[in-house]
Amino acid sequence: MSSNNTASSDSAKPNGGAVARYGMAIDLDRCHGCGACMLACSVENNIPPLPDADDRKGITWIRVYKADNREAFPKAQTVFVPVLCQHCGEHTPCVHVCPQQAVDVDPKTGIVGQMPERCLGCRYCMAACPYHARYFNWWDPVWPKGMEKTLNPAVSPRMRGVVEKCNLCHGRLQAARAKAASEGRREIQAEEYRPACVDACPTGALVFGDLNDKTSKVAQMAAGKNAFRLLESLGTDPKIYYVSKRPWVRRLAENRLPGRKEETIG
Amino acid sequence: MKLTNEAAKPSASQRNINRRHLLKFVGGSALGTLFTPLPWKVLDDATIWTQNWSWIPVPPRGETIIRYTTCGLCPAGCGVRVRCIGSQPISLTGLPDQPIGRSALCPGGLVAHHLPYHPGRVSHPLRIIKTQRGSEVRQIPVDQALEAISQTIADVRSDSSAGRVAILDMLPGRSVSLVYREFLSKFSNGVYLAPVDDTQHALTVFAGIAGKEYSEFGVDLEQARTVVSFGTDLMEGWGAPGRVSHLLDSWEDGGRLIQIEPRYSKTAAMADSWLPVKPGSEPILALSLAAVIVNEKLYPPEVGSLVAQIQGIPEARTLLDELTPERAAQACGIDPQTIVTTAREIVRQTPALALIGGAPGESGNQRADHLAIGLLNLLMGAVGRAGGVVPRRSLPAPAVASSSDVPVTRLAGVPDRSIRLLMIDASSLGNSIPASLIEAKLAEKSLVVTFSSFQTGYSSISDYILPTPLYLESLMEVPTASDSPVASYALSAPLLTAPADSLTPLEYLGRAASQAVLDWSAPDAEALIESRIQAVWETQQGTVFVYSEETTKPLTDFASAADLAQALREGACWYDSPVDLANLKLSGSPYLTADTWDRLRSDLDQRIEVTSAPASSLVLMPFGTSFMATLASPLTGKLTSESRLYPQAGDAFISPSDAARLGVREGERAEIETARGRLPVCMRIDSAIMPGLICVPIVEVPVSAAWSDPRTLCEVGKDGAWRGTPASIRRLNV
Repeated sequence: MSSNNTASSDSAKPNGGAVARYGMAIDLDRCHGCGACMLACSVENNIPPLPDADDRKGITWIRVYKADNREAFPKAQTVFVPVLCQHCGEHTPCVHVCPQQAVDVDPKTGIVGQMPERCLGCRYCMAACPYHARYFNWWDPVWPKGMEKTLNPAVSPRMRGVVEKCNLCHGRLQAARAKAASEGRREIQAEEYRPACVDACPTGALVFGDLNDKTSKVAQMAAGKNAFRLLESLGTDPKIYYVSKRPWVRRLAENRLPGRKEETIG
Repeated sequence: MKLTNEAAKPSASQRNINRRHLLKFVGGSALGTLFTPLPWKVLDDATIWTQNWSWIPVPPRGETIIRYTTCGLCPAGCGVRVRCIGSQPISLTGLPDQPIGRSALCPGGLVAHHLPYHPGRVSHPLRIIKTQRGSEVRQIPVDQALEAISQTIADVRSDSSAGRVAILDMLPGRSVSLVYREFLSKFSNGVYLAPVDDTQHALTVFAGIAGKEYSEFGVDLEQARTVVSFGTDLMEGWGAPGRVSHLLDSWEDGGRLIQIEPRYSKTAAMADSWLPVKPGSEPILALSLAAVIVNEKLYPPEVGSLVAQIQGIPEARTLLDELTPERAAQACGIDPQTIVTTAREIVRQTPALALIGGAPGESGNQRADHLAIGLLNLLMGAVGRAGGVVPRRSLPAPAVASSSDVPVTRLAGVPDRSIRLLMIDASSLGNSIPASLIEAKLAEKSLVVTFSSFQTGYSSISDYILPTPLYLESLMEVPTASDSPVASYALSAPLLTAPADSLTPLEYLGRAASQAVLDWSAPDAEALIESRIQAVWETQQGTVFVYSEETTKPLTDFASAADLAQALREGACWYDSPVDLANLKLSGSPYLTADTWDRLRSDLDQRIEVTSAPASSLVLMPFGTSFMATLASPLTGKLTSESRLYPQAGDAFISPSDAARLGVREGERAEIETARGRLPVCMRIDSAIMPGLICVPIVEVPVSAAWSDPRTLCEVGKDGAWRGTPASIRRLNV
């Protein structure tokens, strides 16, 4: 496993002139796969339930995958890996391929945003995303009768034919900014804004904050020796860090083919 | 001078504009337009226009209001912050600063505001008619159901040999629970049934140790440094979800969790170490650990005299001497050295606490399990100590309850085929007692009525389903959770209006009693709650955690019971002060009688014989899943069908080696067969399953589903506990 302690060096780099570099550190040793993050995300972002949906048709901006160490009983071990948009910092694949400029990286936050209003549904971004973190609306959003009353007014439901993905709860970011503006402040503090999945995690496995702030918990976790990022060898500079004390879990992220020995970029 | 150049002048045929010119012009124009903003603007606008159709739901607009309440879905009683638009809840979150529970909400609690709009909600009275092809569900007027109930009440009252009248209360401990018992006292053979709270039941062995003064116990999980869990589903629904978070915090400081169970559960996955023992061998391991602690004198000095008394009982000494690590290891299927190492480890880092329970009971845990794990707690010094098992005072009762109520009865204590009328409250929580056990108690011409908002739980054995208001639709009491170290009390206030046809169980009962001309009338539910709040306030002890302020105040800060009632309605929870452990004297242990040890020995010998024998067939082992994940919102499909984070009804898990031996493929349809019947399943191959086991989840399913509780296939003991049962798999596609 190559060293993945790039948070400190990355944070020193200008990131498109970013003031903040919002990211997340996920402690996989604390995640027990309850799925609270998935449901909180769906509630916050008005993601509809789909009858008879399976893992291919369903829309879930954050999806918890179950993986194992491929050992037999009793040495078998399991890990739950929440995978959301990794908010790539450099060579962002989805941004590069979008013909509509419906995807961009916010230079002030580092958040990769998706504008469904501009999306024409070509799905190039889905093909380009190495993390399978983008979802296509095959159907119009439908909620059971009456349940539309429970939708979050801060987020518009998306229609069929567009791609959507995690935007680290843009509605919450805007609400935090509005609150700061009402108090006469131009900038928000990192702790004023947290995505719904982070709020909902019962074990505190998801930690959110400004990776540029070296005193923040998220930056310290990201700089730890057990931190890693998914498919780091692609050089996409994700802002979602994972932490696990278990070496086999860290090795999962490299996703090498059997027999390939080359080291990842680090 | 003639300027015209005849040679350059085009001919007539060349001057004519033909189709080729037209095509060139159109093509060139189209190509040129691509280099202007026009097509992109059109495309851009078109995408926007086509995304604003009238059928796309529009979220409600209005002022955002924050309200607070207590989750009433399960006994954990988590504090909830409700974000509303007007009066409509749009999201629920927990209160991480709540003293006990640290209420981070479970997945079900997060989406509970969708429950009123669930497509499966029962909003009209239903009649379930059993047919040869299954069940037929018909909508009926409520009077028809009440007539049937009142007629049966009249029959039983006129002829006591006609059978018993029983109420199964799936949420005991509420004020209304006391009213049920008072109602049943009007019958000569009324029976009040409550599910066995496995955690609390396991702790009752400490009543003898800590003195008879206390009948309820809790666990001080927050201060424990080592937790030895015998199959307790800490990560999957045991206690409040936030307590686990706090436990994880303590792990970072060096705390340890040792999980002992055959299945690699989510709790086992999160544990520092997992001991995969054979099913049913848990008390053997617990006693073996106890024997190592006694033999190596690893117990704390304060229990030394008690240990000396236990060793003075010949039956006890013999059992502990004979249960060597080698003998226990063979029965449990683990290494003898692991037993010795584990015993030394659990007393090294104290306070240490052993837990059992949480499995859907009337469960696989029996008295022997409780006694063995109780002894282990005693020897670890966990009884009556911070970070261990602590006694608590009972929640004050409302003053209006009659003293002539009937006692709480376990289902196992009811004679078979004796119940003529059974009414089940909170039936949707019905996965703790197998429906087959209840069916065995029903008389030939019985009537079963469930008060429920969904066609799940015990709807499959019901004749009538009467709709009730849901959490967030009615004022509900949230009494002490079974694992709580102190008594607590909170209210879940209504934020929504219940459907017109929904009545509370108490209202149904009152109307049926009135029709049957019974000398009983249902008390006002709100007055009952006010009465209990008065009783709580009169204790003048404990603290109140106010949700909106996230602060804790002494109860004495509330000038009157009315003030306390208002705070509880607006979101607050009362916590009793802890029992003073310094004055607690350990005595009167149930382990000081030879009879206890004789029974333990008899049970253990039987288990050792079973578990030590070479396995001749597969063993069916049902396991509980979190109710909250299977019934809350249509969104929970994201956790099951979309991501398979939770097992689905019909899944059966076996090990790859068993699958290879039987020729079973992943996803293949099959039948599990035991001496008690067959169950259709979908085979799932999981490398974390112990070879020799078929693990089948106990999942809530609607009454119409052609799938039943796997416990119906299990052998059931005299104590009502189900056991792992020999089973075989029959592939259906062969």
